[in-house]
Parts: sequence; structure tokens; C-alpha cells
Amino acid sequence: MGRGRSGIYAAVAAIAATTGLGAVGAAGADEAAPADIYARDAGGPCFSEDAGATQCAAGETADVTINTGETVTFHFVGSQPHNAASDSGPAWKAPDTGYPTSGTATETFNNPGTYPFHCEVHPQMTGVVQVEGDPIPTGTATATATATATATPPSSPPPTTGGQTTTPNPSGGTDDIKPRVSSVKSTALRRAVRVRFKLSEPATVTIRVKRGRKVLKSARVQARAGTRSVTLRSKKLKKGRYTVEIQARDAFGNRSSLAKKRLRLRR
Amino acid sequence: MRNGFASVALLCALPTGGSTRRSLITSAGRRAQARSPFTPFRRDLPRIPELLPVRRTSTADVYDVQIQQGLAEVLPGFETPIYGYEGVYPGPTIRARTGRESIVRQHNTLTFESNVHLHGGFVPAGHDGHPMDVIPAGGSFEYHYPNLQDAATLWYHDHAHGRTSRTLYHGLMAMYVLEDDLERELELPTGEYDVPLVIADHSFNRDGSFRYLENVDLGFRGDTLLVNGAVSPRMRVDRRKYRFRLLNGSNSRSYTLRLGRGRKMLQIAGDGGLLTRPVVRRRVPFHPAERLDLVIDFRDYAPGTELVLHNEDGEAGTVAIMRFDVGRGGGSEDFRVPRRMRPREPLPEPVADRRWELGFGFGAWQINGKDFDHARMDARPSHGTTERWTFANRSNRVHPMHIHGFLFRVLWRSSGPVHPGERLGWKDTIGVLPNERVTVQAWFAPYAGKYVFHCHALEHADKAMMLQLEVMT
Amino acid sequence: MKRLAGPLAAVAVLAAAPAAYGQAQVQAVDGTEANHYENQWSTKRLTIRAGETVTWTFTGSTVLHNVAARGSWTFRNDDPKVAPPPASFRFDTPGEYRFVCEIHESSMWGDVVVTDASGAPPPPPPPPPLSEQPWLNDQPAPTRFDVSDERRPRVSRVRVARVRNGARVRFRLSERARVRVRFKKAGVTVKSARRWFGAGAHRLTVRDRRMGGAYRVEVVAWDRAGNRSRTTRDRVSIR
Repeated sequence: MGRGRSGIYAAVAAIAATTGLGAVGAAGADEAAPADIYARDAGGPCFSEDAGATQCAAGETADVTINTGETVTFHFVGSQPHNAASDSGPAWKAPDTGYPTSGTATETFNNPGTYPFHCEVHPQMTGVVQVEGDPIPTGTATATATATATATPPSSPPPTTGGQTTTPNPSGGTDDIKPRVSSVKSTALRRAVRVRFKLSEPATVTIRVKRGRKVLKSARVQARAGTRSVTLRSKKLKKGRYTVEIQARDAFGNRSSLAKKRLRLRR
Repeated sequence: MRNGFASVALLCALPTGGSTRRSLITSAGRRAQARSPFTPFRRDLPRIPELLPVRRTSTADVYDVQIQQGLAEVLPGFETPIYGYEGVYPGPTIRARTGRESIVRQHNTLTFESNVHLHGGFVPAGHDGHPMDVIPAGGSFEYHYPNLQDAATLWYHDHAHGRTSRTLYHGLMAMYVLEDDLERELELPTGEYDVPLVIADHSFNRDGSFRYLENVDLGFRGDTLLVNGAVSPRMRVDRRKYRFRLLNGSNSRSYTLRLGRGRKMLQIAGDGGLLTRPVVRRRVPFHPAERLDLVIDFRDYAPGTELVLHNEDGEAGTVAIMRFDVGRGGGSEDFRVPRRMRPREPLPEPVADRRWELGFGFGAWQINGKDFDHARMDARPSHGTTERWTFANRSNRVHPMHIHGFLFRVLWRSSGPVHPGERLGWKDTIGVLPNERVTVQAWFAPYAGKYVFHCHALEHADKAMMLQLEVMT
Repeated sequence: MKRLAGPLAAVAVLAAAPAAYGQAQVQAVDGTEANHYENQWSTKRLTIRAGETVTWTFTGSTVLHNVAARGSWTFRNDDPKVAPPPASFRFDTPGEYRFVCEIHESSMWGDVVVTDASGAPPPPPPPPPLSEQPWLNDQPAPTRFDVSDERRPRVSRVRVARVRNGARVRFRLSERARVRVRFKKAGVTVKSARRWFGAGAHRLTVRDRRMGGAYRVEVVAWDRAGNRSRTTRDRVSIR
């Protein structure tokens, strides 16, 4: 029940017995020869060396001995996904990727030693491969899956990354274009200045009303592209001559040039 | 501050109360502050721009598209960084005609690889956007779409392996509308009465950008529904028939569409084009990557009526999709939806049966216990034949199964009878419900080569729920 | 009784409080059909002292889970597995640490708050930038999906007066509507007039040389949505 792995069928045991696999029988755990290990579900799941059994015995594990250079064949006779992966030492997996529910996978061991393994989906399925003999220098243990003949994908540039890829979040792109403030018109009002301007792109606009070098009133407004008018009021804006400065800064930090306008408040 | 022209943070800095000074925020900003940007039905439905060809020859239209970053205004006053075709979200619509080839030059200006898949199109294998056929960053590719198929609502989107759940979420998708002479003879609504609607669910960060959280099991679920890139918009409609081309552009959310209190919608087309006859629908299940063409007759409603198209499977912000405001005018119209549309063409008898078990393997979704392996072919149908494929869903998630490059007919569903809206036309994406089995008859024509088929819940597809098929001649 | 109440109360607090202090075990909780199979951790926020160890257990889970760090620390027990063995991590530095299950990152997340040896809470982490703070949709679902005009227009203050060769009907409308005035003699409609009027007071004059005698006048209004008002009747005699 619960969540889905690939299917749990009731009649698995019968199918397992009749698959006719394992022609090369495991002739006993102690004799070194190419070995077959069966990943079985009924009663387990477990790894078993017994080709003809239909059920796992309690606590059954596989323990096989082979000579260096020989191959262990894993038969997937259950209906649940399984694989075989090394516990420790040089990492190997049979098959390399995926968790088959049928077919076989092989692993060749060229160096002597003890290789415990487990199923990655069902960690309670364990086994050991004992390899005896002299190390064989060429090649490293590789696993081959009995897949259908591989075909090369259509010709194209190969993917630049494989497996896990991390796609960065968009940042809005880069923008080197400075915003432009144009058509600046300033109008004198009573104790206020109205400034009208046109922006080329959305930006934050700073407007300052200065007398000489002293800033009497400033405002910072976020505006969209287009024409906009802003009124700055202050009691400090008495009769006299003033300079209005406008500068825009867009989201990427590009600043426009400073626009200045002189005006005179008469009241 | 780049964003928030009328954001709350900016307004809080102003002095409160009693001042005779006029504030520097526009009245529009003050109105926007009063309501949250997620308030539904505040914005009018944006119309997706159409892409114009850069060159027209006697047999083909040539388009030039940049795959680039861009900024979209999704929440009012905020700019959302997106990836988009021509920098807009949703991407520009390509209107093509059957019989005229479309040549689309895609230029990838992103920092990672991308490619383009025409979903639902009959395309030769090299131009279909196989996940391994990618355009590297900075590269270009010219896609040739023969357009030798019946009129349908297709869409094109990114299909780089392992990246689709993020790139489509950030906006790399667009509509591709294929028209033919039959639709013109039937005089279905056209022009401004033919409205593409791209529905997607998103979540947001405080600065207005899209927020993505990984969930391989359920798939991404956002808390806000966007139609054509606006939050639950409204649309003023005349009192006449409209044709809406709906696309479910969500990563993995399925909808159940309902209009008002169960008003009639007429489905005239599915994924693969027109049905044999229109089907009345009041409640429509809508799975990721499926398309629906609905004709809604607003003459039945008095002016001033407001009908909300909503999602019955949603909650809070994911219920309201959009609202139709029926206006004045209209009233008399000669057009009637024809009773017979596309004749049903006979299919050859199926030559094989295949069964695909959908389940969760070890850390990844699998089909028949296998991950995606681009060096392995999982099915080899023969060209020109049909096969019966059964998808058996062993999990408790909905899987919209999609086959590239070919269309199929839905034969049987274990959960009940197949609805006429699915049975009377061609489909390319079928939503397989939890613990359900669905049998479809796929026709492997007209092109041969290597294609993929996969679950279109993007988080599932990226975590390996995809297999390859090769059509052998 | 009083002495027992203390430790019992403490146990009760430990068992019930979500921000449990000192409790250093987090259990993965599989989702059920009731909550749409959302997988979660048993505690979303637990507080320990520096130097203590937190153990994540997965007993009884039938779904693939793992535990991994997010943010400024590094920890990952293994690839996602079904019911893997418990994993532990010892936190030596005060702070707040986020842990997630990599497959169900959007729902299976939690924070470990590590206080220093004296129990003082750690300095709060700097708030993440705006581009990483979620902005949740705070809108409820709409309640009405179908809004249509179902209000009937109201015709009031109907007065019919005689004019030369006809009659003038005065009335008041509640909303914009099409008004029909019928002049009936012995049940048969002799004259009828229809016109659109906006809301407010109006008059409609009907003249016809052939009209003469006593009539019953009927006034009905329909609004744009087709709702019909009540029929108002009056009498007039025309010479």
C-alpha cells in the first residue's frame, strides 16, 4: 500500500520460479566460480544464491566466492525495484543507474578482497562477494546492464552538464543603458516648485531645489517611463532665485546626467 | 529601491496625519497601498503579443526569437525577473497556418543550455527539442516546423534536461496557434474574440520575484494564480461568443474549471485539435500541459453580469482564475457553433500493447522502474502503426503523461467512462489520476526517429520520469 | 500532590510544547490522505544548548526521506531512503539552523535553535534579503462566482393626465429601463408606446386623433438585464 514504487503483485513467487534464469547455478557458497545472485521479494526482500527458491528464508543473505576477473550476475526476479551497491571500499553498483524490476546486471571484480553490498532501496537486503586470487591489472570493476543495443542520440552538441543541474534564478538581466531625463519644465508657485519631466525608463528620480550650494528641499520619487510632475513645497522657498536639479537612477544603478533648471519665485 | 512604486515599505516612511503638505505618492500608489497586490480582479487581462515573422517566403515564415532574461510586471508596481522568449512572460504567440512551414531561429542568450520543444506538434525528431539536444549558452538553432497537421492550440517551451521545472516556472513558455482551412470554414470566433489564456500558479518573494521551492514528490504548488501573467485578472467581454484557448502552464497543479455557478461552456477542441462535435462542459478537469478550447456564449447573460472562472480544487488564493464582466452591446450574432466539426479518421488496428507502471523509485520517479537514460531505448514502435499503451499509476499523485511528436486517442479509464471531451478528439497529454489505469492508442506517424515520453509534472520529469522511444521505419 | 505536580507539569510541557527545550529528537512524519500527503517533521522548531546533539529518526516511515542542511551549515545523512537509520549532529555554535528533507523540501523543513551554555537565546540571524522572504497570498477565496443583476426596476408615482388628442403619463423609475405604456379599452390594446428612460422622473406623451373615450393605462418597465417591474395601472378619459 502506501506510496508507489513499481507495483506489488501477489503472484510474484510463481513467476520467479519459472523465469529460467540462473543457468549457471551457484554451485555452493564455497567454491569459486562465476556467481549468480537473485534479488527476490517473496518472504523478504533478500538477496539469495538459490536459483530455484520461491521464498526468502528469514535473514537470508547472499555470500558468494569468485575468482578475480570473474563476474557476478544479479538477477532481478522480484517485482520491486532493486539494485546492488557497495557498502564500503571502491564504489560499485549493479546496474550503474536505475532500479530494475527485471533482467540482469553484472559486476566484474578484478581485485581480491571482501565486497559487502546492499540494495539501496531496501537496505536490509545484504550480501557479500568474496574474491580470491591474484589481482588482474587491467581494467576496474565495471557494471554492465543488459540493456537493448544502445543507440547514439541524434547529433547535437553534448549536454554541458549531466545528472544534477542547478538552474540559477533569473536576475532581471543586466542593463547598461542610462535613464534619460528630458523635457524638464519647472514652474514657480507660492512657496512651492512644480517640476515636470519625462523619463525614458522606470527609475528613482531625485529632485533638489537649491539656492547656491544649499539644498532647501529635496524629494525622491519612483516613476515609470513617461511624463511625470512633482511638486515640492516648503516654507523655506521664499522669494528669490533657485536652481532645480534632477537626476534619475534605474534599478541597475545607472545614473542619468544631472539636469539643472533655474527659476525665480516671485511671491 | 527598484521595486514597489507604491509599496508599503516606502509609504511607511512618510509622516502620518495632520500635514497639509501633499504626499509625494501618486493617488494610484495610495490606492494600491490600500489593497494587497494579490487582490483578485483588479487588473484587466493582458493580451499576449503575437510574434511577427522577420521574413515571409512563398512556403515558409521565418521567425527570430531570443531566449533571454527579462522583467515582467506581474504584481502591480513590482518588476519580476523572468526568463522569457523575447524577454516577455508569457512568450509571444506564433500564429501558423497548416501547410506553411514555420522556421523559428532561437538564440540562447542565457548562461546555461536551453532548447525548445513544440508541444503537440508533428515535428521531425531532430527539431523536436529532445532533452539531450540542447542549444548551448550563447548558441543558436533553427527549428523547422512543417505544420502538416490539423489546426490545434500548441505551445512551445524549454525542454533542457533537468532544468524544465525552473525554466518554465520562470517564464519560458509561449503559445503556438495553428490554423487551417476547416476552422476558417466553420467561422469560429477570430481576432479579438479568439483569446489565448495561459494559466499558471506561482508564489512570490517580498521583492516581487518568483519563489520556487522544491518538492519532488508533490511537485511545485504556488499560492497565486496568474492568467497571462496577471494575478486573477478580469476581462470585459461583449455579449457574443468568444473562443478561449486555455493552456495549463503550471508545473504540476491540476485544476477543475467551473464557470460561475455551473454555467455552460462548450468545448470545441482538445490538445490535438477540433473534436468531432462540440461537447457541453460545466466542470472540466485540467491537467498540466493540456489545452482546452472553450466557446462561451455571453449572449445568455445580461449586461452587468460578472462570472468568475474558478478552480474547484483550489483554496484561498488558488480558487479564482479570472472574471468575465459582461458588457453592453452585442446581442445579435449569426454565428452558431456547428454540430459537426472534424470528421473522425479511422485508425489502423493496434499492433502491440505496452504497459507503463508509474511509481516512485529510489529518490526519483520512474516508469517501469527505470530512470531516464539517454543511451537506452525503451520502446521501438514501427512507423505508421498504432499501439495500445496503458499507463498504470501506482502512486497517489496525478501524472500527466505526454508523448512527444505523436498524438493518441483515449480508449479507456479505470476510474470511469472516458468523457466525450477526451474521447472525441486527439490528445497528447493525459492526466492519470492516483491509482488509475488509462489506455490510449497512439499513432506513430508521420515522422520516425527518437522521441521521449514523460510525465509533464515538471518536478517528476526532471527527476527522471521520462523514457525514450524510437520509431523504426 | 504538590511535589508530583511539578515534574508532571514539566513532562506535560515537554510533550506538548512545539518549541521544546532540550528535546533533541526529530521524527519524520509521513503525510496522510487527510493532509494531501504532505510530509513533515514532528517538530518544526526545537531549542537545544550548545554542545547537545539532535537526532533525526525515520522509524515507521514508508516514504523516501533524508535530512540535509540548508543555509550556513553542512550536513547530509545520505541519499533519500526508506526508513534509514537515525542520523545525529552535534551543534556547538549558538545560532539557528535550518534542516530539510531534500525530496519534500517545501513541506519538510524545520529549525534548530542552539542557545549558548547559559540558556540565553542566540542572536537572531540577520533577516534574509527581500528576494528570499516569502510573500504569502493573503487573499481568501471569493464567495460569489456569479453576480448578475436580479433587481427589478421600480415604477412609482404614475399619473396619467389628459392632453389634447392624447394623454401624458408621468412616472418615476428606479434604474435605467425600457418603459412600455399601453392604452387599453375593454381589454384590447389600442395604443402602445415604448421608450428607454434613465433613472428618475419622466413623462411620456402619446397623441392620436383617433383616441377618445375611457382607457385603462398600463405601465411596465424592463431593465437591461431583463428584470421586469410590476405592472402599474391607471385610468384616463380622453375627449
